[in-house]
Amino acid sequence: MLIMKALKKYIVILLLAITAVTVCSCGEEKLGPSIFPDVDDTLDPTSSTYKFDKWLRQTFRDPYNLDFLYRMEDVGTNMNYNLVPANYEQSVDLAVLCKYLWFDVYNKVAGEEFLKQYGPRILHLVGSPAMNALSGTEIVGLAEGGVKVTLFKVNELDVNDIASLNELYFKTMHHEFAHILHQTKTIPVTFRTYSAGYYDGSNWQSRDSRLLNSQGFVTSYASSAVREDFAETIANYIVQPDEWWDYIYTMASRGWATDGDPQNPDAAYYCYYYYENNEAGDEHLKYVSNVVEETDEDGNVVYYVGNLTDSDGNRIIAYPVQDEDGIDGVTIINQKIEDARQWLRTEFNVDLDKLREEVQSRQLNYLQHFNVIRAEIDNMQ
Amino acid sequence: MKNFRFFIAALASIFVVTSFTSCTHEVDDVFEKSAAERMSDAISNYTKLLTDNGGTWAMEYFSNSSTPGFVFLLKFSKNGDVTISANYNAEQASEYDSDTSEWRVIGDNGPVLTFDTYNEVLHLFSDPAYSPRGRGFEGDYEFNLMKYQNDTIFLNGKKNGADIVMYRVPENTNVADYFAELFKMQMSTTTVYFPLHRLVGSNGQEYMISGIGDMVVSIYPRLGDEISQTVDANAIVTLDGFYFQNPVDLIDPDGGHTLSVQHFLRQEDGSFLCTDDGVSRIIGMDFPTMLNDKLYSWRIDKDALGGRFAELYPAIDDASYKKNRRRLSYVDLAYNSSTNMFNFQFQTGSRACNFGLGNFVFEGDKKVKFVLSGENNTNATSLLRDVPLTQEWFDLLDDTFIMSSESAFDPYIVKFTSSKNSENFFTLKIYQRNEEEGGGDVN
Repeated sequence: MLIMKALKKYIVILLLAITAVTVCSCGEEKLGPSIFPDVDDTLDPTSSTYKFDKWLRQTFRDPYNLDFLYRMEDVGTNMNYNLVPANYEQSVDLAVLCKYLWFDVYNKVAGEEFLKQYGPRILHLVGSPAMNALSGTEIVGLAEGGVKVTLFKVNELDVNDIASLNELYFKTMHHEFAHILHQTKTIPVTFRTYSAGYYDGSNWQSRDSRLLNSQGFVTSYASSAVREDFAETIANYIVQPDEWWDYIYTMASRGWATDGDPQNPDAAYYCYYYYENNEAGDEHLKYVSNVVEETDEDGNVVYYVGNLTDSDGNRIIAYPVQDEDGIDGVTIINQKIEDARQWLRTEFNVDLDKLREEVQSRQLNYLQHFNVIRAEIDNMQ
Repeated sequence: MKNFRFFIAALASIFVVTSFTSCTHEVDDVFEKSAAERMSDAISNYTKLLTDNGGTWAMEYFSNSSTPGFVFLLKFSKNGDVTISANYNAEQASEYDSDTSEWRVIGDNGPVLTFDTYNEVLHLFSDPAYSPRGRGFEGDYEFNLMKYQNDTIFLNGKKNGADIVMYRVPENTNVADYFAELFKMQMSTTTVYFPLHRLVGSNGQEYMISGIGDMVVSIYPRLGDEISQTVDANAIVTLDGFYFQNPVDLIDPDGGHTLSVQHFLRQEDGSFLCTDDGVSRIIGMDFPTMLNDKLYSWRIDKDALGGRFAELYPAIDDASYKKNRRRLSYVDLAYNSSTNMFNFQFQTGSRACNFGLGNFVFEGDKKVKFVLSGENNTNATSLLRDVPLTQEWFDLLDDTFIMSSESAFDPYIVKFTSSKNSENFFTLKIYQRNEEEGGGDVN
C-alpha cells in the first residue's frame, strides 16, 4: 500500500513536470504562415488554352469532380514507358467525345448521380501508346485505383474515322470505366469460372483471335486475364455494332484446327479443310480459312476452295472443321454478357442494354453533335 | 523501492532538463522563405525570364548518345504558347519545321520547364514509335532548370538526364536566316567525297574520324586498332563550329588516355580547332592516303593549270583534233583494275589513252613524284605518235611536286606545283567515288 502511495506521488510529480515543460515550450511558439503557397486555380483569360480549360471545368470538374488532364505530367505516368504528350487539338476532340459518348450516355441511362459517385476523378491523356519494347504490346488505356483513367494514343485520333475511334477510344473509355467499376464492386464469381484455365497473360497477343472466340473470348486481349475479359466483354457489348458481333459469334461457333504445333501460341488456325486434288486421305489433307459458299441443285450448302480445281477440272471441295474442343464459345460469351448485365443491374442499377442502345444510337450521328460541342468550346467567353 | 524512487525522479529530471534545453536554443532559418515559397518564386522568376525580351531562345538539344544534337529556336509566349523550330533536313538550307504547343514552369525537386502538349518538332525525340520501337531516341521534354547565367539557362533532362543549354537570341532573329547560317556550318562539316578526317592531337597522336558530317562519329588512333580502340560520340553543329555532347576521352595506340576533346571552332582554312586545349585540330585526310585510295578517280581541272601545263593542255587538244578529229575531253588519274595500276588517262574522243603509273613516291605528306611504268595501252602509244606534245607533258611530270589544298578539312582539290619551277602546276580534283576499285579500259 505504501509502495502504491509513493508510486502515485512520483507519478503526480512526473506529470506536473511534463505539464510545466509542455506549457513552457508552447509559450514561445508562434505559428507562422503556411509553408505552402496558396494555390491559385483561377483560370487566366489571357492563356491560349483558356476557353478549353474553362469548358473542362464546367463540363467535368464542377459536376463530377473530375480533373481532365490533357497536359502531360510524367509523374502521373509509369516512368518505365517512353511517352509523349497529347496534341492540344486532338485533346479537345477527345474531351468532346468523352462527354458525348461516355459521360452523357451514363447520365441519361444511369442518372446524374451515377458518375458523380462512381466516375473517375482523373482522366489523363497521353499522346503515344505505352509500348512494351520486349513483348511488342501496346497499352491504350489504364484504370488505376478506381479513380484514374489514362487514355493513350491521343495523337492518332481522327474524328472522321469511326472504326479507329471505336477501337482506340470509345471501346477504351468503356473498358477502363468497367475496370473502375469492378475496382469498386468485385467481378461476379461465376464470371471467373467460365474460362478458368484458358487465360494466358503473356502470349495473348500471339494467339489467333478467332480460335479465342471459339473458346468464349470476345477478343484476344480478353484472354489475358479475368479482369480484362470482364472489361472487354462490357466495352465491346456497348460500343461494337451488330455486324461486329455477328462475326464474333460466327467465329465462336466454328471448329478450329492447326497444322502447326498447338502448344505454339503463334500457330495459325483454320476452320475448313480440303483434300488436294479432291483425293481423300490424311496425306492429302490441307487447311484453309477462306472458302466460297454456294448452294447446289439440291439446296445443300457446299464450300469450295476458291476457284481451285482438281486434275479433272472439278472444283476442290472444302469441309468445316468439326468443333471437338468441348467448349461452346457462343454459350460462354453469352453467359459472360449475362453476368455483366446482372452485375451492372444489381450493383449499380445500370441497364447494360440501354447503355448499348444509347451508345449505338449516338455513334450513328456523333459527328454532328461533335461539331456542336466543339463550337461551344470555341465560343466560350 | 529506493531504486525505483530514484529511477522515477531521474526520469522526471531528465525530461525537464531536456525540454527546457530544447526551448532555449532556437535554430536560425538558413533561408528567409520556406521551401515552397522559394519554389514558387523560382517558378515565377523562370517564367518571366523565358518570356522577357521577346522570349526567343536557342536550345542545343541532345537526346540519346547515338543521335546527333539539334539546335531549336524557341519563342516563349506569355499566353503559354511556345513555337519551336528546327531544321532536320540536311539537304535544304531554307527548310525548317515549326510547331506551336504549350509550355509551363512547374515545381518538382526544383523548377522544371515542361513542354506538356505535343510539339512535333520536339517530341519526336521522345516518341516510342521510332526505332527501337518502345524506346525511340529517348529524348526529354521535361527539364530541370539548373542554373541561369549570362542569358544562358543550363537544363538537365528530367528523365534521361541529358545536359542541355539554352541561350537567349535577339528578339528580331529571323528564323529562316538563323537556320540558313546553321546550315552553312552544317555543310562545312561535310565532305564532298572523302569521308575520313584526322584529329591531330595536342598529345602528338593522330586519330582517324569518320561520320563528322552526320555528327555521330567514330574515332580511333591512327596507329592503333580500329576495332577495339574506337570511341563513338555524338555532337551538335552550332553557328561557330560543333561540340560533342560529352567530353570524348580518346584511346591512345597503347591503350592509355592522354587526350580529351569536346568543343571545336571552325577556322578560316576549314579545319576545326579544339578550344579545350587550343591545339588539337580536325583536318582532312593526308594527300598520300587520298591518292593511294583506289576507289577515287581524279580529274585534271583544265582551268586550274599553270605555266607550261597551261600551255600544253590546249595544245594537245588542238593537235589531237587536227590529227584525228578527236578532242581531248579530260585527263584523269585513276586506278585501273585491268592493269592493276594507276593510269593517267587522256580521253580523246571515245579513246582512252592510258599511261601506266608505276608508283607514287612521297616525301613526307606534302611532296610526291610520279613514277611512270611505261606500260601504256595502244591508244596511249598512238597518241604519243600522233601528238608528240603529249610526251612533253610526261617530261614535265618527271619532277617532284608540292601538294597543297585550299581546304584543310576537305582537300579533294589538290594543287601540284613543280619543285623546279613554281610556275608549272596542275590541279587534280576527285570527281568520282567508284563502287569497286577502278574500271577497265574504255576504247
